[in-house]
Amino acid sequence: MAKKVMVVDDSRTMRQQVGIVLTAAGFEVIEADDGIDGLEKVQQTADLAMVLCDVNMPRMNGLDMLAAVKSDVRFTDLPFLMLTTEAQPALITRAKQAGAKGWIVKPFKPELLVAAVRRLVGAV
Amino acid sequence: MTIQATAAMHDTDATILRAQVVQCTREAFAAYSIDVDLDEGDPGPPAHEAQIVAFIGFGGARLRGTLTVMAPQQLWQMTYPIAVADGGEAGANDLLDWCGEVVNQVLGRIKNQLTRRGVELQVSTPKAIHARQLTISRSAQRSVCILRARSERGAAIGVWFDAAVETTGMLFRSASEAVPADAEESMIEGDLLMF
Repeated sequence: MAKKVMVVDDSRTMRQQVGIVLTAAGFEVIEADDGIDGLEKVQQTADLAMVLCDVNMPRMNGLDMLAAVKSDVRFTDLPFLMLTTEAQPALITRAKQAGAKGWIVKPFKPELLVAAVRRLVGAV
Repeated sequence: MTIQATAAMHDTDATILRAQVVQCTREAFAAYSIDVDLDEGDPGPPAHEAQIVAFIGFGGARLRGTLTVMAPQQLWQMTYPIAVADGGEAGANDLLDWCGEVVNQVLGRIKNQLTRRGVELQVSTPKAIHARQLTISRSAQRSVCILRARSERGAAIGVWFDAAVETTGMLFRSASEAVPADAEESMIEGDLLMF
């Protein structure tokens, strides 16, 4: 069974672009369009393998979503990989301290994205 | 290319900002196989072809403003990253969404460069709209640069970086002092860092 990866980004095109790459690599992709949507879908999705998350989004940003998810004991071990145009060291440090496993600066390289996802959830 | 510093903004700061806008716009479009040649002068008379204007705001303790990128719809289509069935074009809403993402990536590059110079910014979420015969109206007080770019395929691109400083001193330190010691370790576009 394909492992489920949630892609959280307010750009539909970006979600589709990531989804195409990950689907071709054998993953099942679930989309969420901001941090609130992502938080709800994390709680509703069984067997979610990891979350790929933008930072700057309306309603709830990716770092706040990360903190909210990690505060729930059911999801302490759920891997987060941040995918964003941001590269501020302070934000990267904040994500690391909140429990994220990695950071990619957009635009992403498909082979690096797939390698990172496989490293976090295992090959499919 | 026009540089117009605010009353409070030093020419040196405006020059640095302008250089970053030029470099980052060029790099952002190059990532989608569009070579742009930014030249001097205002964008000129409004184009009659359908345009899309994408814009995004930014703010921080020392600098705030807006980045606007205006280009023909056909040029934006060339940057669209997802193959469309039967060689067709992206739908109107999908293309607007994508234009917002591109301007977000342009500003992201600028922001990351400014971070290395000690200026930190927060950004808004981007917006994009369709437009016809739109002109950029210069603000006498705020515009740092209004650029006219021409892609290799002939399409005109207008880039408007409108900013105001929130400090009475220099925004940046001198060029030789501007980059923090750990800048070499900072991430750039396309990088992956695993914790």
